[in-house]
Amino acid sequence: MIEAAEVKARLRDAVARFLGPPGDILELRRLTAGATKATWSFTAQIGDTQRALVLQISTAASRADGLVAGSDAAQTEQIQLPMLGGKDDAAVMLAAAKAGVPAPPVRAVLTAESGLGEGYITDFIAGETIARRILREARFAGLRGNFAAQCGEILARIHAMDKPALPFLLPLDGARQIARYREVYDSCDCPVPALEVGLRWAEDHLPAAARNTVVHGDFRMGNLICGEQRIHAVLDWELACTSDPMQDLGWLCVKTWRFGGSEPVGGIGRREDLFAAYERATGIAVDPAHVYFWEGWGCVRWAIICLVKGLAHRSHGAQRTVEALAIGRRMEEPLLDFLELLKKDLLQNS
Amino acid sequence: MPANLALAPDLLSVIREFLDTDIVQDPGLSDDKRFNARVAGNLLAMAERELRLGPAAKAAEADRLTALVGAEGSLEEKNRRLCRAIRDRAVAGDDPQVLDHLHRTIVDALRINNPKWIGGLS
Repeated sequence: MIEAAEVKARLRDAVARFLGPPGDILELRRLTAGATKATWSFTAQIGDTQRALVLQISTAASRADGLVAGSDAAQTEQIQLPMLGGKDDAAVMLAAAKAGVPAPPVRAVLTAESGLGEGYITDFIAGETIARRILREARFAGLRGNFAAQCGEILARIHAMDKPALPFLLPLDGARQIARYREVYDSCDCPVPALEVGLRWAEDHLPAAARNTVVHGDFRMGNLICGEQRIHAVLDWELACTSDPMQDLGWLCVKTWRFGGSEPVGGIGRREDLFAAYERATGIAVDPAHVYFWEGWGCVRWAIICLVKGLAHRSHGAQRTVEALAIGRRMEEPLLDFLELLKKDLLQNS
Repeated sequence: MPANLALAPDLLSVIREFLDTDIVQDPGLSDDKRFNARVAGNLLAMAERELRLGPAAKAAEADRLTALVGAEGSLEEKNRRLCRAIRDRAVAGDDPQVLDHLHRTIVDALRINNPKWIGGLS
């Protein structure tokens, strides 16, 4: 992994080139250090002003063109999940901003030649992403009151993004997605009967999609920078693809993303408010049963992601982290939620 | 091995307490390292619970699987047979005995991995 001193030197060159000289880096703080991406916040001297910025580096190349085996394919047949690399990720964020979605403004797109890896620099957006605080602290009461409606409005804008302008987005509608995740699960060679039931249920209950649009793919509490009244920015676009737009509404309601909150939309909002705002913005009616399917499938999909992360330590050196192991141990959470949904019969009618 | 030596569960809990106090509360620790130390403490708590609850949970899972797919083979082989039966539609997707087995197996795993998760869907 690239270290702070190295990042600082190379970042200075990138800032000087794309944002203006001298580019001196005054503060550099690592926010996250994942196996496939690292996020740093920093302040840079540009002319006689100081600007707060964020650097995002993806260590993996874009995998949007399909599932390729991991870098040490000889050791493992495990298929990777589709994920956008830094350049495509940045292109989606630029397109999102153009469509009126609150996305961090991209100031520079970095290629491997930057010495930092593929990535981008955006403005630093003030606000909170930590769900625990957003759900509980008094200062976010205003946001909590209209969070679901804001999500509906933002999702409507994401789903209106210019699809032909983003040709690298993987077509991953419901049927393709289920098939792809089944492949990923099979490649793990780890028999989980509950996942077999989930995959089979999804194959049998997939509703016909009225539309196929750009979808964010990971629109949820935790990936939204929140102010006290408004959602300031939508982050983490690397799972963007084209699919049934109801996917994003269902995923937002998956219990994992409620972080212990009692309401379905991110733990703090009502489904009715989400749907009503989405309908107002798009003029298209939302069928709750259709969204329930995507919530149920979201549970199954998240369980498969947990499984992949939980097994990664066997083969991928970079993923031998406590965080990956902990995510692996979360697999049963969405599986229980899925079984509860099945039991409640909410999904049978979709 | 002398009986007065600390046993595996003791080792795990003492290491966890060390992480949760000395390490996590070290003001000089960077945010990402503190986060990872906290996660490591959680993993140790899971290992402690697994030592305590794992054997009985596995035995119960194996017994239920025997009733569903026969007694031959290891726990993993039985799970493979059940997976195959679900995929090949040799059992109904809503077979109550299968769903009951899955529910019990998942709840037992959550008692180890995250007991707080058990409880109805909000």
